[in-house]
Amino acid sequence: MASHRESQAALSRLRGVLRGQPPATLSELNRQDLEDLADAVDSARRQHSEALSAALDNAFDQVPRLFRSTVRRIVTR
Amino acid sequence: MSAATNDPARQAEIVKLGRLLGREPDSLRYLQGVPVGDIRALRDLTNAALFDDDGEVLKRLAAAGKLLPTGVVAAISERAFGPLLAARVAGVMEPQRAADVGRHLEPTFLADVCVQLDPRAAREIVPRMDLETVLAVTGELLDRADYVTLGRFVGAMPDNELAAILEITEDDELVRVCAVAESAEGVAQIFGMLGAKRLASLRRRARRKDLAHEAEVLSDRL
Repeated sequence: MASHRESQAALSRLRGVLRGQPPATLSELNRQDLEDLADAVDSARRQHSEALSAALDNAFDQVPRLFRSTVRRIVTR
Repeated sequence: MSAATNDPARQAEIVKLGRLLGREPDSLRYLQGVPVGDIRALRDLTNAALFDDDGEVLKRLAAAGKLLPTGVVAAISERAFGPLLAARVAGVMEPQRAADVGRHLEPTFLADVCVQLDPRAAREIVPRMDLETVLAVTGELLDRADYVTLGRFVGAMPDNELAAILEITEDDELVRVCAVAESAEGVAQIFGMLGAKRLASLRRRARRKDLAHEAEVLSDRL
């Protein structure tokens, strides 16, 4: 019973990180696998957000000086 | 759930999800028993969870890029964005502009971008690219044996590009790509363009043991 509750909690967390209902067949995975999947999505989202932020900073440095302030204004408005 | 571990389509979906999550496919092996359509649905949800929040920033990046020559945008994509972000920006650019930028990119980088490019965007961009670039990228992906990525582009090619691609693709490569292709219409397009001689050669090759699973997926065509 406790194991079922834990699986439900892991499924609920997966639903949260996906911000949507995962396919019903995923509910047949065990708790560890569901948690691993939720961790993977959560971690990928954080990494992507950090990569985007770093890429933006880096990109401004590559823009020719003449256009830099205009490009920055459009992107960060 | 059935455990069909050798289904190329399921394995391809796990590879694609792994790429999205930055994980090795083997670390997601617990998905081997999940139906292929459900893994695809999971990938769609994951895609939205990862990128929907950034949609506005990406659109602004694409808008700002319009101020710059396509060669400069290509240089920034390679030096600052990297393939994943470049693919996302390409997905919100006007298709012709994205194709023009692609012309200035190195085939190896463009191949990396293709790994991450949304197939819906590819369907708009690829037909606008010049044949030389398309063939260079296809050759790069074939050299990498990245049939999963090539399979995502099946159905995105106009006939003239596809005919040229079929010429540089070996029989076993073609079978492997078609077995993991996402578009049934695209596979029909390919088989519709094969002459009797090539089709016979393909069938002979598909009978070999190493392509047994792929041949099973394509049994109605082979």
